[in-house]
Amino acid sequence: MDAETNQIEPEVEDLPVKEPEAPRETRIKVQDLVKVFQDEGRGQLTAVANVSFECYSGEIFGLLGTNGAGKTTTLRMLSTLLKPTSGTASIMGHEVISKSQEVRRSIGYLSTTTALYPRLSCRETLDFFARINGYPESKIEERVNHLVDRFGLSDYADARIERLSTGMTQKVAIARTVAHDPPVVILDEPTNGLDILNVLDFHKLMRELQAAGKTVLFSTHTMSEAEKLCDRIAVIHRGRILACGTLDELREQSGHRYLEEIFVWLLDQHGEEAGPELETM
Amino acid sequence: MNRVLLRYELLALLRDTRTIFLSVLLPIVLLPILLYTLNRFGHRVGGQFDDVYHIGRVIPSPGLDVVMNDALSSRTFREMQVEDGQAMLKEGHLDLLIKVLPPKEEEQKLADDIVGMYPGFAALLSQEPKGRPTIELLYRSDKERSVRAYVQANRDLHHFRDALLAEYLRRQDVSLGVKIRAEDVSTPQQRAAHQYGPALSAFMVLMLLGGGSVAALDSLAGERERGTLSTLFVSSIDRREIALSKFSAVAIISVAVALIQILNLGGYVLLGFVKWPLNATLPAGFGGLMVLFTLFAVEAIFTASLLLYISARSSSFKEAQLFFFPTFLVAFALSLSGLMPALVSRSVVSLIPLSGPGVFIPEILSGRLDVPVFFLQVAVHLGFAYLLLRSTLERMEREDFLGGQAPVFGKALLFEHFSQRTLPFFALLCAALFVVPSNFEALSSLQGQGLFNQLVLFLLAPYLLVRYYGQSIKNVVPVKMVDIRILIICLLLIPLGQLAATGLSHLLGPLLPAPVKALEMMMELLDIENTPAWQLYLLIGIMPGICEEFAFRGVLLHSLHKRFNPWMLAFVVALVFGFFHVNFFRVMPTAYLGFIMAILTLSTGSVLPAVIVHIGNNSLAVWAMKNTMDFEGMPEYVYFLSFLAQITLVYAVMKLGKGYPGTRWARPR
Repeated sequence: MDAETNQIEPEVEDLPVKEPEAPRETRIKVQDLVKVFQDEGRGQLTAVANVSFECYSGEIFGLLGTNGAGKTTTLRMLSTLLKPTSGTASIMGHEVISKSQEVRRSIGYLSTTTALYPRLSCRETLDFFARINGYPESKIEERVNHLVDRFGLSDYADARIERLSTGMTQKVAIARTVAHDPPVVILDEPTNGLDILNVLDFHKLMRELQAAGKTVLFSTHTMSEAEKLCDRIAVIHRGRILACGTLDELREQSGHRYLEEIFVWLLDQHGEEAGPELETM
Repeated sequence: MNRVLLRYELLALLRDTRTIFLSVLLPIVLLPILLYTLNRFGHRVGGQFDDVYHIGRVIPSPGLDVVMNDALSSRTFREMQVEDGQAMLKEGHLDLLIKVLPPKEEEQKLADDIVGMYPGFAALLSQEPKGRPTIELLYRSDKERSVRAYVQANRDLHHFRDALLAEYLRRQDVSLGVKIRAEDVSTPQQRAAHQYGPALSAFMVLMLLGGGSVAALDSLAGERERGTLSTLFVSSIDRREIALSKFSAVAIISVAVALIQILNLGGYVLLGFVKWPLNATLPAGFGGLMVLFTLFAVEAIFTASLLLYISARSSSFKEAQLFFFPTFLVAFALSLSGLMPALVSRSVVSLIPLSGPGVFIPEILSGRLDVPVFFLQVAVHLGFAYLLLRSTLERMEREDFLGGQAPVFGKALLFEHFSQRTLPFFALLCAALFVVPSNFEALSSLQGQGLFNQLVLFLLAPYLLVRYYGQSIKNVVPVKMVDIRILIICLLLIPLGQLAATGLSHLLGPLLPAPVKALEMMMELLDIENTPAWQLYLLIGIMPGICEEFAFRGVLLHSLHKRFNPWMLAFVVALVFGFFHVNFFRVMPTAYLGFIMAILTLSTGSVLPAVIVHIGNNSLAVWAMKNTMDFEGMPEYVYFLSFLAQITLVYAVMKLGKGYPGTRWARPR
């Protein structure tokens, strides 16, 4: 092992040891998904072009790409907020267009555009989202108490959201996402704006979700986060998936060790330029 | 509706200090002021003032003290003797100034002039004293109290003089022949209903709109801005349930706030801070109260759906406020319809939300309850509320509702804009139709109106709209030859249409009576006797047949053909067409003919049949007028059979035609 490799070794070693793999169930299936937006000024914009991937139970799947790569659009289509122009996508066997209500019941979705009711307390927020997403009535109180404990919200459980700090609000938002214990959790750039302690806590949560057999699909433009957390990674750029696999598979395919290098190599291979967004990363 | 969502919506809304402040606390403070104003207004209308006026008697005014003692009540007029008094009147210390002017030489000169012109008056004038003293009243028309003091004093002085005259005549044993006696036979309740009924309707609308405004605007626009709506949209409840729950929350808050304000009003009345404006008990008993309550409930449903629609149209709370302000003013103006003189509930006003109750509530308060009108108004409010809620839901289901981009582009995008802006454009045309000819002398004649309305409003303006949005005139106004059988049917439809529309007018007569004044004005405008026949046929028959069909069955119909199914499209086009015919009693019959012509266009994919029917129909009407004939007075079954025959023939056209391209009725050509 050379010196360069040694530098990243401790980070990898910090992670909990993975359980032996159980038979995997396909939770998310995306096939040739296309989304075309029309803009009065710019004309036709293909935000997502023939994207295909699958995510399994107990897996953390990362969608890695620069700003404007099509990550958010893909996730918004999976959460039924947008309708695909063509292609299919299903979650837990439910097709996102025809069975949108079942899809939404099966997922917990968090993004920068999903906010919390400022005038409800933490406990009321969790109770509300557990109820409207169909969590069993008799177990709601127990579930809310569990989430309050898990996320360390006990001291603020009855405080209104509007009075909480950003970090604490984000914790409630994540707890809200899993309030109804969904089998699939979709997170769009969830660590944006969080301080390092909250980021670490969040990573711990993702591992817990994985251990509980949940499927976590999350988008990020932070290479180190993807390296650290993801079982598999799909690199997306300008609406197209350039590569998809485990970190080892991507390393083997590209001959590079670091994800940043792999990313640039993939752009070269596909005749793409890094563009200004990448340079600012 | 989702009960959990409703519960939490109410919880969140009630915790909003803006709702509490604007909807509950502020009105509690403002209500006494409003009531005070209302009472003052009521007194002014009813002339019930108990003021004491300050009157200045200019000295010396010989004999005026006697007149004042006998003519003016010392309880009403508090007298002050002044030397000049003008300055005191100017500064507002006095309400009225009274003085006596000596007989003027001019008066004698006037008498001499009269005798010069009419010698017969000489004997009469010679018996009169040489000039009479004049009592002069000085007041200020810019001061309300001063005006009232003048009116009161003037009336009292005239009564005094009349009494003196009557006494003099009685002594001379001269009889005036007749006595005049007047009596107000209206009951106190009817007078109170007349005075306060319109205000009650406005008060209800004010409370409902004010009470629900913050809640509604925040409910969609505010939540969209904060991002909480996205969170809700990814939950398992669908958007219909979300819309209904939010609507229910807004309606409940509106009603609750309105009820709080009614209790608030009751509190102020009980505490004696303000006088109960209705100085009589509510008439019509329990039934009347239930009717009032039901109207209140349907108005609440309508206002809640209106507020929610504004909220759905706005992307931020601030934008929603911008929309809310003019809406509030319009709604408030509509609710004051009861102030319009001679407007009765059995008129088109009952078809307009918020306006109907404005006229109907005073009628209920005065003890008249028109049951069909009541049900009509309930249906109108619920119908409009349904349409608004449906539009709200349609907006919520749009992909760009949460800020994404809509999947339309290029020509389709242009058409989309064309389609969205045609109805507001036609609303502007309609406003121009009402305003311009009546304000410009040159355009008020038949010829002026014909040229302006037809050539400018119905031909040029829609043409420019079509060109502005880059649409092809050939597509927008399709003029295609149709099957010869359809043309023959069109010719048959001309007299049948006249008869059926006349029958419809008879049916609607009780609801939408034709005002005699309006008929007279129309006949005056047409001036059948003096206008050359060719002008009548050109201006009333041919030009409207071409220009109006260009505008309505051409531009308007085409712009909306992708937004509605054919039946609904024909209905919308017909309704707009009807409203362009200014007088309310003409709206329904013309809308009916407009509907038939829209169906013809949609069935054939060409405006040609509609042009033929329109020209034929109008020309037939001109011919009938020229020959002093009309379609009235036939047995009712003739109208009914005409209607049936017309429907059958239209059905035949639907079967024969190839349908309108781009609609469900289109068939391969």
